[in-house]
Amino acid sequence: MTREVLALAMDAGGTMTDTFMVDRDGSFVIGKAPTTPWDESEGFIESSLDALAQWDLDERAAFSQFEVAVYAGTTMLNTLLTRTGRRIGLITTRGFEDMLVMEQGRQVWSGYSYADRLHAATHVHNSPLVPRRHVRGVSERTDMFGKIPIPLYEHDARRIAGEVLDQDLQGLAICFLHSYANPANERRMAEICREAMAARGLDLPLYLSSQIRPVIRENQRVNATTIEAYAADPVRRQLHNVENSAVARGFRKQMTTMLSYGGLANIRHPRLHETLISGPIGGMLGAHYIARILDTPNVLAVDMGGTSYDFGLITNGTFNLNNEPEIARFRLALPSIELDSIRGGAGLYLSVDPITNRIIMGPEGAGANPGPVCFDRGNRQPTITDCLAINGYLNKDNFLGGKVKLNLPAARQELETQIAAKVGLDVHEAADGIIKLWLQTAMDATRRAIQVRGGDVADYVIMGYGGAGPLVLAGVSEGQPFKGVVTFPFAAAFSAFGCTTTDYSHRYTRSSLFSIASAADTAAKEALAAGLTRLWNELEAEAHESFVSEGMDLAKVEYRRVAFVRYGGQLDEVEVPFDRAWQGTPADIDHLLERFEDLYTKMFAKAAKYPKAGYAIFQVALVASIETRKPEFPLLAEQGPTPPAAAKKGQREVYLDGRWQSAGIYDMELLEPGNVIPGLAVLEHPATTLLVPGTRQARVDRRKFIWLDNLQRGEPST
Amino acid sequence: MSAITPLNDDLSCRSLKARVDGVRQLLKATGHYKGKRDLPLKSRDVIRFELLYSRLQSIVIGSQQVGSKVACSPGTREVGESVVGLYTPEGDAVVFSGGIMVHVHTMSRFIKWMIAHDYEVSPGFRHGDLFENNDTYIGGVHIPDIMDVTPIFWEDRLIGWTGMVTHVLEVGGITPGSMPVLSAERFTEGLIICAEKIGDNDQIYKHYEVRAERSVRSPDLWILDAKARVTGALMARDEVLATVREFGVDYFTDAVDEYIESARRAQLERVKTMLVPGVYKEVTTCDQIMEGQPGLSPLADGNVTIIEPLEMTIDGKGKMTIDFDGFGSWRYWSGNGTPAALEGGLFVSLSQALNFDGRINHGSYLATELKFSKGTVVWPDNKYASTSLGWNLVMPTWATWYRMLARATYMRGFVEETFLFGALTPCYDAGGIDQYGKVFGGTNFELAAQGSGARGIRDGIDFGYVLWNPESDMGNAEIWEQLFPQLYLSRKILPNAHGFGKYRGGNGWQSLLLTHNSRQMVVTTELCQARAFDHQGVFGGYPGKVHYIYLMTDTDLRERIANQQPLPTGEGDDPTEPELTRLVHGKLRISHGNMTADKPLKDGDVMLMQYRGMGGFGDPLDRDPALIEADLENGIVTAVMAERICGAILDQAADGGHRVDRAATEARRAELRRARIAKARPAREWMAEQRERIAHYQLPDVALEIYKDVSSHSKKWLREYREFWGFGTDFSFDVPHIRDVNPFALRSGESRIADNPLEF
Repeated sequence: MTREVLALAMDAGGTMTDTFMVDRDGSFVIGKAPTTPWDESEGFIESSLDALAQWDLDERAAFSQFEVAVYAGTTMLNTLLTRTGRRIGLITTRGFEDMLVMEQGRQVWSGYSYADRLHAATHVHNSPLVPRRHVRGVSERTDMFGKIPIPLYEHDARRIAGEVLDQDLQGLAICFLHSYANPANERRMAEICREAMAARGLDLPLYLSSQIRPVIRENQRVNATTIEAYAADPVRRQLHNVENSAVARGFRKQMTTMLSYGGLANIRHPRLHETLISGPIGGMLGAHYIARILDTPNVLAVDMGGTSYDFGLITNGTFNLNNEPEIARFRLALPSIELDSIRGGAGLYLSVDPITNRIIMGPEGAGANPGPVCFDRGNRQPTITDCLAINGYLNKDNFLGGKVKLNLPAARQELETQIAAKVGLDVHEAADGIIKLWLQTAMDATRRAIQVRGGDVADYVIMGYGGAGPLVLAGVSEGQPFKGVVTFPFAAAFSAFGCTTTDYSHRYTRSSLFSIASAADTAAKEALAAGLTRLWNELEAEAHESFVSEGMDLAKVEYRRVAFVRYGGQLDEVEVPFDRAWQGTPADIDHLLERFEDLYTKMFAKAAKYPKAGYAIFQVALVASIETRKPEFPLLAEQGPTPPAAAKKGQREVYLDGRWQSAGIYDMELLEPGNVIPGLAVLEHPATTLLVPGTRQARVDRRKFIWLDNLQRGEPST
Repeated sequence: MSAITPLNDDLSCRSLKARVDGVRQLLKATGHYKGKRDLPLKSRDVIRFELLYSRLQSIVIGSQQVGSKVACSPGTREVGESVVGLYTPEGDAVVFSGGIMVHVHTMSRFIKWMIAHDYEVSPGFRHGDLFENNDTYIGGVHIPDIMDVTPIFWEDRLIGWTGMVTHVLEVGGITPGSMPVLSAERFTEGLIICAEKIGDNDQIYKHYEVRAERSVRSPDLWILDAKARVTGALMARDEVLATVREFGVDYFTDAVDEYIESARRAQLERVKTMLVPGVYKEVTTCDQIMEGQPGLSPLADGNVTIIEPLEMTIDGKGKMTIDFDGFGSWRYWSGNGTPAALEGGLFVSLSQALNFDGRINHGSYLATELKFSKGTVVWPDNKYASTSLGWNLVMPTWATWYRMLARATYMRGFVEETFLFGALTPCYDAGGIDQYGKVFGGTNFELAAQGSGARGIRDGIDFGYVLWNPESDMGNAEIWEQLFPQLYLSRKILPNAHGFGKYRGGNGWQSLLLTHNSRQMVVTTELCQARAFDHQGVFGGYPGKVHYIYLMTDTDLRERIANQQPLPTGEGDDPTEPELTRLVHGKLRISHGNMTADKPLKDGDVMLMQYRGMGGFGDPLDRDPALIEADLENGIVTAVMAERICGAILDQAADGGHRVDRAATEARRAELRRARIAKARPAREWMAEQRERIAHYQLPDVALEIYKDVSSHSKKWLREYREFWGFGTDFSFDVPHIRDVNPFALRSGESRIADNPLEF
């Protein structure tokens, strides 16, 4: 029977472009190729060809069959990091022209490690995306209520539009204070700019903060707006290249990309800065999808990379959103699936503090190039990967499928002289300890993430993916009562997989100014309900317009309403999804506030409740989505606990818990449903490694998901 | 007097009071914290030892994050004004989160005070009890810094404490906000909680909330911040207990003691490694010019100037002694300090300057020694003397210490650690009727990101540093407009605010605030430096700009807006002809110090706040022209000042910007250097002339009053003064025609350690 492909998803990371391709039966294949930043379509094609070759499919036939193609790239991030975006100007409220040079103070230490946050001598500003000479201020002011105490000075506005447009720019951003509350002045300024452009025969794109991200906090709003103006164009060019190269091979649909809050969007989407952190989001979406398949509402998803350790939570079936993430050291207003990241990757440098004789991990890392000592590419400072290598966790001949041969004597020698001898430990003992410390740092961060959001570790299943995610899975879950510990044969391309699992969806937000007393009467509740209805209706109209322009079927759109609730006077809010049909009645308000109290009490101590202060809703959101077809994981027949003989690759000595132990080595790809591999074992895949300690067993379920059962806790429980 | 406790005595079996005493005696007898000559846990298994530390650090950081989300104050949520710490049963700090680390130590003082005052007997310590304090003599810098602690019990054994501090923005003082400048006695500072039990069973008592509702102007700020602190402390407690279950109680209690002893040793080693031993001296002054201001207490000294001569001695073993001998008498003003405040300042300073690996704790404190004279402004012998603006004293003091440290690190070759950090950080308080029609009060904490001093290898941090919180931030104007009935007419760079130098200080900025939607708003300004420079440079670097506060009432701004005439945004490029006064007509008051508005502000009145830049490093004539060009581009320096101070000769570039003409600048600089030499005089000659002035008391009254006061306190100061100027013992400032600024102060004569809680 001829194989029919369904979806293609690609995650272009800094080094590799991963493809996840799925067919109509739910089978999948992974392709890999180097990322090509100069023209990402080259990496796109190479990576898809790599996948297609494994299925022996014709390129043109396959491309013509794809229903969905998702591409998540890194162009925007690279554009920001290398400051190679467009020449743009900024028009802001007069008196605020320095806002990009000044930044918000915290940006001088954003993205720093704990130690460097204290170490103020290291603090520095970002260099601004818009040079000060391209920024102008116009006299105007809108206040927090949306009233306009200082009308736009039109003569001022005309003069400034002219000045800015005479500067040979490629785009123009406009950000006025409180424009989220009333966009009139920004819109009028845009009209004046258009008139001035018409007079000059120019047609520059205009970016209004009230359109890009209409929420309070001018520093985060201006960052979102200027990043869109600065970096969207190169991204769009790359995405069009990718789409064109797919179309040239027979692709008949529109290319989609991944948004930071977890939806798919057409590459013509007007707010492309929302794709800024699309790659890691893919992993979270994959975890979310699998959580639904497994019928488990709470998941902790962990991804261990070379420099960072990323992890995120799915609680009660939904993501947490971060409305002010920091990207490339910019803090911006951008709802994004909350991912915590610590500088805890396997590439972290190791050293010994000469004063305290403490082992120090990081904060810098070796990166992919030159990489750890064992890569033998010139770096002599040991890293955590070197510890993993000398203690037998990694296969010296099969790292990255054998593409990198590990030089263990070199790694051992540097660890010996630079670390072990200084702290008075045997080199393997030191490496063992360092791995433990490293894993605990990661574990503490993940536990903290659950606790900060009011959760309990025992309610969560932990999923590990990414190159080193499976390797650390046992370590970061050690001693913690997780409900289950699981990874996947496609762990190395999990982010790309995740891109095939999400719906076509957009999120719309509005700032609002609602407040209500704790013992409000019916009239007050009716007024609040009417206000919410009005805003949500406005957002629904916006969604309609957008979906129509993207050629989507409006009949299939589903809406989800969200209110951000806080006690009166508080500055942080709780995202409260309205979980039933909105009727706009006082009873709906009661329900919304009850949901808030429930969530708040879970997140904080009981002593933190303070209904007496009343409630405020300063932001609402609407999520509009259309369901897409997704990969399936059919239940396969169990093949018994013993893995096929071909899967057993041999034995290797691993130093664990203070001694050398013999570990069984298995080929992950050859394991069958029902197989059980007792620890101590190492399950190898060309792009990832799963460590099974002696206290655990690896169990392959009927979907070929791999569970790490804790034998001491009597797992599996069923 | 009790006998020396035997070293092998089990401290855990005794009362807390006896244990605190035992810890002190063991240190004295052995030189080690709790007598720990060896560190067996660390030696036996360094990895497990580090694992526990890492866990504890993670706990306090997480608890701070959770607590801050509950808070109502923009101070806590928007600009990170909080800290969470873990303590031993005796109240010694073990580990803390980031944030306002000054309070790692003040919380420690608070716990020790309760123990010393027999709280163990009454009201007793039980699981779930909540204790709160903001009394600065018990432990604190000023009352808005409120701390809540809770004991950690393992079964029936008290094994430690957790606590959280936040800066609350309204405290119910004589004027609205958190730092009433008019307060001369504590009775006008606001609501003071003196080491009080405020709850049990993890719940705050109802009467605590009732009191806050009826005692402060913005009770929501107060109460939600209390809930934030309690949330943070309780979460940390529960997490610590879970960790104790995992590691074992004996391991935990022994390990925390070893962490403290390790930090003590590390501190000594670090000082030995990074600094040159010897005696360092620096001096600064701080002041408050309030004469004639409305609302001043009859007791108050209108104008106060305090001299702050600081001496740091580093011995060959790495011990650092900081001596405050020579500080003047306490005064009836809001700027008195306490030993707790100055010691807290040491914590925040060490954590940024020497111990930035985050391992600072009580052990670091034990490796240093701070000495105070009772009766002086750093240790008033009158517990009612106000400390409402304790930072007015603490910041200049530590700025002085930073300068000494800059010399010490530079001499040792740690040039990249040479950093002038910061000094005083001006701000304003406001209150009255807000835009919602409610009574309000608050401090605008946008002050929490000003310029830093210069660094040994680069310019200071612009608009992003305050010495009391390295995680500095000013928040968003749109958020502050939610709290205050004001419209920002600007938030922009204040040109030339930095101290010039080869590397300039971090630059300052300004906010122009229009009163909006309020018919009554009282404004006061604080933490300003009036006539003195506490933000000096080093090695030829200049001090930062003198900052001004402009208050303009009864303005024609509304008409200007209606007529679409140009609106002001600040001081402009030339302070001798400020943009604000050029464009707006009204009743103007310019102040360069702490101030109270004569009348409540109303719609249309404006205030210009300036946030400071700090001192420079090295000679401005050595400044790289490329750096000057960048500053010109960003409006950080004006062309006039670049030419006048840095000797830059500028050309107009085609794009309207400036370019420094390298060759012409070099020639101009050579000329300026020659002019300096021509103007110089032999020091001996100049000193002889000054000596004559002193001998005949021909100094300004303020200087004579300072010297009379200081010499009455400090034998050492008087001896050194006489030696320096070549006077005999017959020379004295104790002459009748010089005013005694505080005849009531205790003249204790010598400085000493001030760690006995019963003295407070």
